Amino acid sequence: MVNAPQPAKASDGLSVSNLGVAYGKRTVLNAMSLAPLPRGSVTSIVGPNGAGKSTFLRAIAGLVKASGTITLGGIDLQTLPAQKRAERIGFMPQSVPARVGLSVLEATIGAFKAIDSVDLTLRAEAVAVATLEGLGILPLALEAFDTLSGGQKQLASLAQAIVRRPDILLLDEPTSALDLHHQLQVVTAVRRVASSGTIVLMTLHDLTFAARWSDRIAVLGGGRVYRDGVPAQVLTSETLARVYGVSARIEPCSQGFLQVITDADL
Amino acid sequence: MSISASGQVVLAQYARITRRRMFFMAALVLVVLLALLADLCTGPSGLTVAQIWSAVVGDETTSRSTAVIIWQIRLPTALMALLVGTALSLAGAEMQTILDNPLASPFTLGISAAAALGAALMMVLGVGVLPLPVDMSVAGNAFLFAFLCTLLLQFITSKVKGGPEVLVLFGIALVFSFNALLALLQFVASADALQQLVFWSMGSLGRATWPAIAIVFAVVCITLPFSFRACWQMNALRMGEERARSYGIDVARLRFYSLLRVSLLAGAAVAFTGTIGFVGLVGPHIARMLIGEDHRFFLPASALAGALMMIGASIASKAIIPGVLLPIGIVTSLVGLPIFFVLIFRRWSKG
Repeated sequence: MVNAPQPAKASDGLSVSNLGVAYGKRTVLNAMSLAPLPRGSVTSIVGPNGAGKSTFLRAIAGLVKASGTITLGGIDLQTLPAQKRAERIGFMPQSVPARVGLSVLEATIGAFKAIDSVDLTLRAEAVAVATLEGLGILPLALEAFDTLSGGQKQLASLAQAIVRRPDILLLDEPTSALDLHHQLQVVTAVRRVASSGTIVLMTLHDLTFAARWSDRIAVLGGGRVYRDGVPAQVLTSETLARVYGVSARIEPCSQGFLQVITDADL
Repeated sequence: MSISASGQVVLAQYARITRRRMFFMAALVLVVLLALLADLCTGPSGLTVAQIWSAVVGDETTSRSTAVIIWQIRLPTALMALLVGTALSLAGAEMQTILDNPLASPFTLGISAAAALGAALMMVLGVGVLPLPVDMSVAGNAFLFAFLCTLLLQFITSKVKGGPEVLVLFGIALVFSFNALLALLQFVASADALQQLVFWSMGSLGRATWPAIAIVFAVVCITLPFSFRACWQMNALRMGEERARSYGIDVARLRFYSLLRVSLLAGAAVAFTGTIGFVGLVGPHIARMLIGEDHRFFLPASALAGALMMIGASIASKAIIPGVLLPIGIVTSLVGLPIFFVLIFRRWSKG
């Protein structure tokens, strides 16, 4: 909890209720609901592998077909046409393709112009440059995407997700496979984006990291939201035992941040 | 939007890169035009550049035979080379992007195999599917089969999940199916028809007539603007399909219309020149190595690289053995391969 989010009307934020996703006959998500997420808040989605964290993000982004309602500021996103919905949502996949063939700036401009291909004014370039500068990666602007390090790629990827200034930013494991320095770089950038009013949802595996940097945590287990709330309420020995089947203690460090310490035995 | 000083520097650099690419494209256009001129000047009849020029501009002093050589043989051949190279390479470039597979080309997915089967159907069995005059029905069949092959690919993609990999696998299966059917036709063909078929398969610019040129030209002119209009969407697709969809791009629709363009381009090219395999695969790779993968430049550069390769092959087919016109399909590969190897080694050589 870095910046306490502005108290906002519930109708202004993001609400998810009764979200369900099925692949064929297999139900992946079943009637998932989240308490309304205010603007400027960062929520981490945690849970065991296969719990449906990524599917949950994809369902909100409209990348997989889902039942239920997702409202933003009172508007049901499910009823919006794909383009209108995409304008409000930035989505960052877990990884970028091995071979992209574009420079960082080209990819960022592309993200801005992807739908409206007629707009050939200078604006897109300026917006892209400002976005890269905001993330501190302006020096990489003209580098080839394919030559970047893992951490740089994630930041460049984040630039594409936020270049249209979305209302909702969805990040699929933004810090996995990154070193400590780059994890911090990415998460502070994400917090900065949130502080301008964006609603951020990200999937994470590192619970201590999630507790440190999120306003809220939603624990997924068994195809539904098992717990949802502020980290101190959600992260308990009981939750971890139930959802992960792991015996662990949750203790505050000297500065008050929660730490998850696993016991030796399951 | 206020931009910092260092941001301005980056913008200026980017503008410079863009200008350099534009300049490079202009240079490539010039090279293609020069090659076209060289193609006009190559041939067994030993015409001088002055004679050729006066024939092209329609000078009164031009002898009748010179005018015939230029207007009935050299100009159609050269223009057909330009158009077919453009069409095949552009088709290959689009396919490689939308299928996210550097091996994709009209030939990998059975489109030209289908065209060959259609042509063989007319040559061997005399079955013209479209109601066309006899001299156009081989081309008509080839085009129709190429087009149907693409529709079949489309149908399959709409029926299965899994995206480009499935499409590529299915395309390869189609290649083998059509080739087997073609072999069957060859087996029952008369000696005459077989010879005709073999020559058709080797590819030739000799069949270039003005109506044929007009048709291929029209197809290129119709598809090109739509290709360019999709360039930002194709750039987005380079970042992965899911990402492109998150931008709001209807990827299935993009793929459908792109394959439709591919079928028109490849169908028209193959119909009038036969099987010319190498350009659609290599043209885009040469463009990629020269100018990168921003589709605003990559698509036109692919078209130009393909045109240049075909014209070069056309020149070589006349010049390698004086007095003998070698089949263009063979020469394209022979001329294109060394260039391709050089580019590969320059790009991926160690150190």
